[in-house]
Parts: sequence; structure tokens; C-alpha cells
Amino acid sequence: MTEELEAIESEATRAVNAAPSSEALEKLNIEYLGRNGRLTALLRGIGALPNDQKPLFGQALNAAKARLTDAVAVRTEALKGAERATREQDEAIDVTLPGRARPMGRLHPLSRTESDIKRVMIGLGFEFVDGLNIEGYSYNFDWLNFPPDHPAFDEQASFYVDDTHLLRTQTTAIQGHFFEAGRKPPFRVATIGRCYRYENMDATHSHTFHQVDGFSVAEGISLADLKGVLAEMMRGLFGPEVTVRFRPDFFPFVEPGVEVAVRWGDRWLELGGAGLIHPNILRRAGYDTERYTGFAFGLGVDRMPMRRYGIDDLREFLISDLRFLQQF
Amino acid sequence: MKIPVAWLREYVEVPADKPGLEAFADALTMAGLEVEEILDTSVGPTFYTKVTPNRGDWASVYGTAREAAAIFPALTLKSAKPDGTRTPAPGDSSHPKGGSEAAPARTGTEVSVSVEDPKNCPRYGAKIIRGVKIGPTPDWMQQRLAAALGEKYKTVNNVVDITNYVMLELGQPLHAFDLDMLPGGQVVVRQARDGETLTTLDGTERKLGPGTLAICDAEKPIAIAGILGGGPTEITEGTVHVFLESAHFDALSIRRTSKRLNLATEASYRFERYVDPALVPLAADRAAQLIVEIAGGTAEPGLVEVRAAPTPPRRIVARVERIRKLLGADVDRDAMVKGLERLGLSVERSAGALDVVVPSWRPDLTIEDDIAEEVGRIALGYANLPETLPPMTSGGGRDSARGLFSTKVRETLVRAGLQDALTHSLVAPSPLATEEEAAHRVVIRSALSPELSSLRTSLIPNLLTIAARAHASGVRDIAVFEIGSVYRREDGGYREPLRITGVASGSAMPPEWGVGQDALMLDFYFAKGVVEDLLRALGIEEAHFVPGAHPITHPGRTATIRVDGDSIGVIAELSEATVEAEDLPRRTYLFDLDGDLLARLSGDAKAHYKPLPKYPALTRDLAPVFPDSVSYGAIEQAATEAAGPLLESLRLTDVYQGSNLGEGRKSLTLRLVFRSPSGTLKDAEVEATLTAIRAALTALGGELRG
Repeated sequence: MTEELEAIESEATRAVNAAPSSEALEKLNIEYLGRNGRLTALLRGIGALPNDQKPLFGQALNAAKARLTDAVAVRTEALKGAERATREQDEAIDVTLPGRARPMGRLHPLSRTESDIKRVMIGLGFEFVDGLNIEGYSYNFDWLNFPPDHPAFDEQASFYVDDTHLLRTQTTAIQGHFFEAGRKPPFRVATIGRCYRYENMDATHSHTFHQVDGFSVAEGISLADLKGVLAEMMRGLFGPEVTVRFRPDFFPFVEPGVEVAVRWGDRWLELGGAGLIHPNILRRAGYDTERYTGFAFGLGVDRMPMRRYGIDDLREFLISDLRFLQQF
Repeated sequence: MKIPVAWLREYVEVPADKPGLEAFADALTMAGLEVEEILDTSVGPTFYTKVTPNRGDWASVYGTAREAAAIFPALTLKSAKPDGTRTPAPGDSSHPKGGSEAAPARTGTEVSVSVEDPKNCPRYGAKIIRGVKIGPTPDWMQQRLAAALGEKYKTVNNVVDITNYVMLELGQPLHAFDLDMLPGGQVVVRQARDGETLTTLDGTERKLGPGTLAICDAEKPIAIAGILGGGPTEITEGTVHVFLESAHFDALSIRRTSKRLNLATEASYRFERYVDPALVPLAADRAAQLIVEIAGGTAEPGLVEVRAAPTPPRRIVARVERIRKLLGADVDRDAMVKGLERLGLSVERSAGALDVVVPSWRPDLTIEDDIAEEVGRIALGYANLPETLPPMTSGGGRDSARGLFSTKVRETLVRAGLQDALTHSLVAPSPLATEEEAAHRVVIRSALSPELSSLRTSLIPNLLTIAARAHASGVRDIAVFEIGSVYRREDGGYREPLRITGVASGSAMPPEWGVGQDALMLDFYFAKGVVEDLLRALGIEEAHFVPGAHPITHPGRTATIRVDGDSIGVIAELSEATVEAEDLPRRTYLFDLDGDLLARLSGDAKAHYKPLPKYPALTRDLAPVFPDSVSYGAIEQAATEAAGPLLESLRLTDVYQGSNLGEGRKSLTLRLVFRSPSGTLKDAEVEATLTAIRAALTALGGELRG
């Protein structure tokens, strides 16, 4: 019987290792290892053996079954792998066919710019507040040290809605509101939004434009601090390589007053006005000007995405043609 | 202002080569006197400079030269005092050889000047030139005037052109009268009287009246002071004797008159920005010199002058340390002094401070901070200003509440596939506005055009315009929103409520190769899904959509959205009439939400953590059949209320309407998920709940099969 066992095992092992498919292997599994399989059948003949040989043969048979079971398992894995490979080869697709797009919304380039500006300025410690578009004359002009009947008004032709209210010509109009609330320095405050001035519309001018205003009052604020903060801000917005330039300019609400430009790429981009808050304003706000000084800046927002995306016509922003918006 | 470089060279040295000239212009710009452009004119390169409102002294060739000399330490400013050598060289054929030969006999008319309003006219000078020959202006002067004045320039005659020439050169506006037209040689400077009129040089008859400073003869106005002369006394071909006015007028008085008369001239432009009173005799002499040179005649020596006591020069004490602190730069004290002196300030040093005396042409310098600016731009140069960072303030940066809310709304709607748009606040009044909106509309006073005549009362018209434009340009799938302010006049004040408005049309999912060629078209429920998404993102769980109405929407496809009893807005398909009137695609959907209310509700809602389920759920489907008249909302509510605590979720998975159900009936498939927090559910527990739900649905008129 031992010979027979050896013969069956070697025959089965050969057959298993040569099984061409999972189905054939399963048949072999049943043929040899099944309930009525040939190895199982040998067990039934064990009764015919002398008593002293029974345990030995039993062990040999179990060992043979275990080896064959392992061989089946190994062959199963090999066949599965081969079959999977064949199947997946058959399933190959043309990866160059176009993808199926899910319709996607996008942020308006000005919304995107606004959120970039906020991210950078919040990082620099600015607290954003909101102002209104319809502003009191006193906030838009008086609070900002515009003398009555000054030629500066020529540059501020404005949209009036009644004798004392107009569409704000600069976001700086927020200052008076904030100062009236009586916050104690030090602080850094900012606002961003729409401004309006009578301008003929062309590719680079609009009666409606966007500004970001920032101001700070604290002990010892200097013009160099203003330059440092603006430089940090510009580097945050445009990259570490940019440089900030100051050039003297006149705005009634600052002294000294400067025009701010940033060197971005190979050109200067003029961004707006800045300076140290005029002592008349600080005094009116109730701050001791010997102790406290402040800076303020008001920068044009629209030019930033114009330069970034190469937009040559400012009017596109508020026309919001979908074919324009979907490019960003 | 346009400053021909050749003219500038008569006062200060300017590089001749192009790179040198550009560097020169750039240095002026960086010191504050912006050269916007270098123009090419018939008299060569011409600086186009920007005169800021505080620096009227830059509105002349000489003033520009003076600033340049302060900016470039190596430059020397030539004197403005006429010495007869500063007109272009002879060889110009039209250049006269000198005037004295042509002088006719003097008539000897006496001249008298009186000033009745010394506050508005603190200094008045008259130069008398007799025996001139009026004729054409020499070419060289015409060319310079044309280069400086551009299209505004039209030659009049030699004497008038000379007055303009000297104004551009020195900054002092002048006016020449025909002396023979002044009865008795008498000139009075006074306020115009009620009913007085004057026909000005431009041929317009103007009403003057009190508030208008007038130059008058013995009886009547002959010129509007500092703005424009009158016709009857103008210099004509027949003029022989010239009364040349060189005066200082109060800036505010000129500005108010110019505004009231709506009359702005080169003279008023300068006077309202303040003209250095010291120029009065200088400009008179310079003009007289040119008149004699070009038009002949003889200038009477001296000036007939009426002058109020001159105001003493302004003195400012500027502390050296304060200047350094304001600038944030350690500027050397000697450098400060040198810079200020180059600007024409005289500086006395005292302990720790500079006592400065401000020159007559710098009315803008009034406080210590002004001196700091002059030190910064001239002695230091802003290119040398360091960059420092002040210490952070406590509290840290943060966005405003409205800013945070808007960001969240934008992000959610963009993720839902809608395009973020921004549109004009200034608009023509929209016919789509509701009566209520129109009643609160904010209107621009004296608007220049209809498009700029009002503020938007709603975002809807602007978004429909975007949709119509997209439709017209062949864009089929439209999904766009705006979050922004609308404007309302209320109770004598103004409000700027926040709205969130969206418009969509076309497909929700465009046709794709391989998955069927039919697009999945947008409908009311896609739009509703977007709004529900937004509400969920804002933490608002409970919203009710009830049939509603809006003037521009489909009456059967409009819902009002309610949260906690408040209406937060509307969602609808647009009515056919709106679609036709606005050239929109058929089946256009709209939502219009109250942003302020949503922000408030969103602020109240807090996200709440629920532990992950420990036990498995059981899912059951029910398929009741209902008459169409029973709304889904009522069915869902009945089922939910009957279900009790075991129901985790209820979802509509299908709606079927077919002839086999009978007319006016619908079959709904409801997928119910049950779960218990305390153990694995048994079929019997779920069955009891289902029985209760079935009973509730039956009570509502539903039929349940099987």
C-alpha cells in the first residue's frame, strides 16, 4: 500500500503542477483529495494492514495529503495570477480618449485676488472690517482732512445720492467710522471693497473699481514700517522676488504721502497711495500725536489680476461674461 | 503740465542725450514731480508732468526748474529776473532786433489803481507799456506755446501771447488791457455788484454779481479777476498802449467763482492752487521786457502797485529726532539742512531742532510732518528708506463676519458647479424690479447717463444679463451666481443688504461619449439641490420649501424657502414671459436668497458631533401610490412623524407615473433606514415601525401594495 500511496502522490503532484486552468485544478482536487478521492480511498484500506503498520501508514498518508494540498494551493495562486493578467490585458482601454468632466464652477478673478489679499493681510495681523458703498460726505472727505473747496476735489468727481451722501470714492472712508468707535491703539485694520468715481470707461479706467485699505495706529509707527509691511504684503502676494518702491505723492489724509509701486516681472505696477496718517486725523480721533503715529494705504485691487492673468481690459471684470470667467 | 525741455534749459541744465534725459525725468518722478511721459513736439522733447493739487508752484517752467535744482545738488538754478538774454538766439527770422526804435510818442495818460477787496486781492501791479505795435507772434514763441498748451493754443497776437508765455514760464497769470479803453486810466478791484454782467473774451455774456471778484474801470467790470478778461478792453490790432496786470488773488475766491461760473482757465487753474505773490513784479518785468523786444514800445519804469501788508513768512520748528522717528531712518542732520536749503527753505539750527522759514512759493509746508516729508524725499530719497516691521499688535488678524460668510457661500456654490460672478452696482433702473424694490431704489443725483443713474435693488437683472449674453454667444450650459450688496433707501437712510442669487439653465451633466448622448437637463430639483447643499454647508438643517410667487417666475414652479418661520428667499423656474422678454434660454432657473438672514441663521447653527453607529442598520423600501394632489412634503412628514426614533433616514429613490396606475396618480419608492443606538435591530421591531408608517400613509390617502 505504501508503494501505491507513493505512486498516487507522484501522479497527483505531476497532474496538479501541470493543471492548465482553475477548473482543471478543481477537478484534480476532487479526484485526489475529495471525499471520494483516491487518497481518501486509501484510508479506507487501512483496516487491511497489520496493526503495527497502521499508525505508520496513517502518518504517511496524512503527510502526502498535506503536501498535495499545498501543491494545489500554490498552483491555484499561479493560475489565478495568470488568468487575472490575461483578463486585465483584455480589458485594456484607450487612455487617450477624453475624460468625462464634471461641470466645475470657478471663482471670479477678483474674488480670488480678494481672498489672496485677505489671507496675506490676516497673516500680518490685520483685522478686516466692512464699510458701506453709500458713504456720508463727512467720512469720505472731512474725516480724511480734505479741506473744503480744495482743488483735490477735482480728482474726486463723485456720485452723489443726496446732499450729504455719495458713493465712496475711496475705501479709506472706513477710517472715520473706526476712529469714532474709539478703539485704543495699537491696532491694524483693513477693509476691501468697491469705490466709485466719475471716469469714462475704457480698457484701464472704470467708474467702479476695487480697493484694499489698511491702516495701523501704534507707538512709534514710521514710514519705514509702512514700507516694511507693504513689502511683506507684496512678497506674500507676488512672490519673494518683488520689490516695493515709494515715490512722493499727495493725498490729504497722509503726510508724508507716497505712491506705492511693486516691481513684478520686468515692470513696475503702480498700486496706489500710502503714507503716515495725517496728524489732523489722529488728533480728531483723540490720539496723542506725540505718542501715537499711524500708517495708512489704499491700493487698487483690479490691477493685480490684470497683470497676473494678462487681462488687457478692466471692463471684463464686471461684465462677467461666462466665457471670460471660465478661463480662471 | 507740458514743459518743453529747451525752455527748461533756460533755467537749469538738462542732459541732451536721450538716456540722460530719461534718467533726469525719472529722478524728478522719484522725488515727487512725476514726469508721466516725454512727448516729442516741434520744439523737441517735452516733459508731461503731473502737478499735484498741493504744488501749484510746479505749474511753470521756472517752478519745474527750481524743483529740479533742489533734487540734483549739482544743478544751479538761473535767476528768474529778466536780463534779456533768455529768449532764443537771433537768426530766427521772426525775432525782432529790439524795440526802442519803434516807440511812438507817449500819450501821457495817467493810470490809477485802487483795490477795494484787499483780502481777495492782496497785491495788484500794473505795468504800462506805451507805443506797441500789435502784430503776429514770432514763430519760436508760437511753437513753444503750442508745445505747452497743446490743442488749447490758438495764437491771438504778440502781446496776448506774451502774457501766456510768461504765465507758463513763471507761473504768474497776467492780463493785458488796452489802456485807451480804460476811461481815465482807472482800474478798481472790487466785488461785482448785483446785476453786473461782462462779455468775456470767449464771447459769452456772464452774470457776475457779489461773490465774484471783478477788475473794473470807473464804472463797470472789465475782467473776472484771475479767470478771464472782457471783450471790450482786449488787445486788438489798434491797441497802442498796454495796461499789463500782474496780481495776486486769493485761491479760494478764484476757485469758488470758477466753480460757480463753470469756467476754468489756465489762469484760474494756477490761482486756485496758489501763486507765489513774489512773482507779481517779476512776471510784470519779464512780460514788459518781451513786449518791448517783440512788439516795440517803451515800458514805463516801475510798477503801479497796490499792496496789502505782506504776511510774514511762515516758520516751522522741526525736531531732528522727530523727523528721524517719523521716517524711520537716521538721516544726518547736516544732510537734512542741505536738502531743505536746496528747496529754498532757510534753516537755523537750535538745540535738537531745525527752525525753518518757508519760502513764499510753498504754502503747502505748514507742520513738522511736512518738513519730514521734504527731508525724506530730498535729503534721504525714498529709495534709501529702510524696510522695517513694527511689532505685531495683539488680537491677531481676522476676516470680518460678512467676509467669512461670503467666502463660505462662494466655496460651496463653486463646488456645486456654479460660476462666481461680479456685476456692476451702478445700473440703469431695471424693469424687472418689483414695485417694492423700485420704491426703495437709490438714485444718483444729476446722473450723466441712464446706465449710471441708480444702484441695483436686486442681483437678478444683472445675472439674467449674463445668462442672456451666454445664450446669445452659444454657451448652452449656464450656472452662475453672485453674492453681493444691493442698495435701499429706507427711512431717510440707506441699507446695503447682502443677496445670494443664482441663475442656471441647460444641462446638469453634459452629454458624454459612451454613456448616452442625451444630456441630463437641469430642472427645478437640481436648482433646489444646490440651495439645499448651501443651507447644509451653512449648518441650516431645517428648511421648508412651500409654493410661492414672484412677478418674474413660473406660477406653478416657484417655492418660497422658509427657515424657522422666516422667508429666506425664493427658488423658481422663470416664467415664459420673462424668458421671452430677456432673451433667455427656455427653462431657466433662479434662486435669490437673503444673505444677511442666512448669515444670522448660520451663526446660530453649530455643527454637532454624533458618534459613529455601533450596530448595523436595516433597510426597507415602501412603494405607496398617491393621488398627485398629495405633495411629497406631506408624505415625507407623515412617514417621519409615524416612524419614531428608530428611523435613521428616509430617502425618495423613485417617482413613477404611468397609465397602469391610473390618471393623476403617482407611485413613490421610499427607502427607509432603521437603526437603534442600543443594539442590533430585530425584524419584528422594524416591522412594528413599518406598520405605523403604512397606517399614516394610508390615512393620507396612499395605497400600499404587497
